[in-house]
Amino acid sequence: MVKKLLPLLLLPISVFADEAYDIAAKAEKTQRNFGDETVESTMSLIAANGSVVTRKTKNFTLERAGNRDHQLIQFLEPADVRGTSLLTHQDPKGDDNQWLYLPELRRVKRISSTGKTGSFMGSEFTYEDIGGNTLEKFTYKKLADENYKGKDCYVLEKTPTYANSGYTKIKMWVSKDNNLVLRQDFFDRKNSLLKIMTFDGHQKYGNTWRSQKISVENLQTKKKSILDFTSRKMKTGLAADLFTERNLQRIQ
Amino acid sequence: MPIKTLGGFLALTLLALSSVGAQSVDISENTKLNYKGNVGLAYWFFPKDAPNPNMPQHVGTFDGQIDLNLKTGKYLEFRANPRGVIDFKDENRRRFLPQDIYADFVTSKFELRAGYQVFSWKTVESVAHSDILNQTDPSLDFFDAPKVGEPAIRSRMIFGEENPHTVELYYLPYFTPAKLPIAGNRFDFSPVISQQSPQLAAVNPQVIYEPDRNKYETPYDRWRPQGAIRYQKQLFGKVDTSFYYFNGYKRFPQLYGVDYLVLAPGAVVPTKFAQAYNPIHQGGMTWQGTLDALLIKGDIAYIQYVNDFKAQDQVTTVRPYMQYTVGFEYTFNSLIVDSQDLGVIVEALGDTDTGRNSTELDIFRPFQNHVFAGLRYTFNNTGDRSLLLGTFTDYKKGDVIARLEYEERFFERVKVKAQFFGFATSKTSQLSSFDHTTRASLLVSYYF
Repeated sequence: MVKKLLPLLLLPISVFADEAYDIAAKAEKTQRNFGDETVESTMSLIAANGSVVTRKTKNFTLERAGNRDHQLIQFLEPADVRGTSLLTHQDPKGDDNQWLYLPELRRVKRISSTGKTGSFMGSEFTYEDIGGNTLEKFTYKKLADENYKGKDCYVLEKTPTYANSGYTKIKMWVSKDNNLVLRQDFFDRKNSLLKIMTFDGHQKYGNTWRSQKISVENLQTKKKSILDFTSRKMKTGLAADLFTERNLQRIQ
Repeated sequence: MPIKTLGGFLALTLLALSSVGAQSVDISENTKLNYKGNVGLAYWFFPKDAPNPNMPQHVGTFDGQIDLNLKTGKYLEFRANPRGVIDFKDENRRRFLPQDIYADFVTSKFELRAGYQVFSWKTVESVAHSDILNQTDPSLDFFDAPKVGEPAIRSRMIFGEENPHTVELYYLPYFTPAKLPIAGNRFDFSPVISQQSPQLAAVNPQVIYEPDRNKYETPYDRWRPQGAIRYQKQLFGKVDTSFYYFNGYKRFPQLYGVDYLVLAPGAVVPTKFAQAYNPIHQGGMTWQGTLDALLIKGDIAYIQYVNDFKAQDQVTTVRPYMQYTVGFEYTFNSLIVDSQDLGVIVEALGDTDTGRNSTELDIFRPFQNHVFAGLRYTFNNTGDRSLLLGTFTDYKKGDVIARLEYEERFFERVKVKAQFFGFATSKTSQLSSFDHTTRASLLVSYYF
């Protein structure tokens, strides 16, 4: 009898999970179909005492089938790290392949999966945050709907399925009207709320949405980091060989 | 100071002071100049007694480099990355190092680069046996010797798309001899030679740097062509591997007597030693890859002299040998304090000639039974503060070389590095002659 009832008992959970996955899939779809992208970013690092320093990067992304995107980030400022480049070959399900070019040592160094939870340029973003957070790397659960900043939102909880993540779960707010992610709350390995990431200034480029400003606040250290994007271009015909290890040392 | 060096430094300094943030200039629609550089002051203090009174206890240097990169159109770019070093006291430690000055033709499947170049085949953190194409400058820093740019042509061919095969060919037409440390340099190892026999001790022979007296085994001297071929491929989706073969002069020289003193009838003792270079075959393999959470890496080299008997004495024979460095790296995140990382590196270093007397070895080969252990603590703050502790331990003799380093950026453009580099070695160690180079140093650099 219990065996017969079990599928029925599990049904609501499964339905919620499927619905959550569908919402997450729609949210991801808003970010796709860009072909390739070039954008400059200025990152403001705000210390607990309010002092601010900035970092600048130039980012190149090539959209590839099956979420196997390639991304190249070149560091422009501060001056001592200019020429440092980070190459990511996204793996839609497993660990991404990542390489870092260190101009002072003239070396290309691989980054292991544990290295990915480290800070990106001293900010509150980690390499994991800026790497490929594709749909298939998480399982999803739908929580209660909420209104966030005057917008009706689905609230989802996503859990990393890959090893060595810095997070146990991420809570995300997705607007119901256009499926854009507006906020994400990250929970650390002790399951405590670690940081809040918000997405503002959404703009549409063709069929692709992008946020012009991403802010992250670390609730434990009281530090903030704000990413502002400028000079964004899409579908300019970036060559595939730009995203290779041998090209890391060339300033674009 | 040579006028050339002074002029170079003035130009560097002027450019550093004139730059306010801008690091690239658009010359035309398709032509862009990127530049960056740094100038710095370094101070070294040697706390241990020196074997020779002319060895300095304090060393001060001014150091600067600029990196200019001109991109013209889609396929062609030019790079000039010279470096200058001025020791405030020792004229033999004043340098203009071309490093990179080359033209680079790049397409998606073929590259050709010609000019002075610095190459890096390094995958390990401690001793990279395969990283051999460039000469180094041991008189500037014997244990962290900067590479010297080599005149070279490199072509690179790429076959395949998703996981390509990469083949590189190197041609190095003109050999650069090493500038070994000489009298007055703290790294001068002439006193070690004196310890080898009572006769040598009586004359205190000197290692000299007189390139005209260097001996080359082949009749082409410095023009003996040298070359290498290297094949790179990613294996198992996670491991970058390379296989190579090199044919050319061994970079670190052997020594041979050039001036002699007759102590007694039949007792002739060298008073000066110059450098001798012999060609070798070297083949090897390097790798770096991820294995779950570990970063694994390695470097294995096989070295064989082209001729068994060395030209400088027709007596010395050198057997083929192998050297290796293999290890792993693991990073602990938020281990002690949230958002701060501790990186652990362990590498094992070996040599098939381990246990042999150092006089039977072709050159200075001190790392034969060593474990390199490194800890890097990263604060992940806006100044990228980091602490590094690295030790080389000879697990047979108990020798230890330790390096402790602190590094941080201030005011966005100033970087400070403080370092302690110390030796605790046994008398039989090849490194014992460098005990007196234990040092504390401070480097302040301004980046533009």
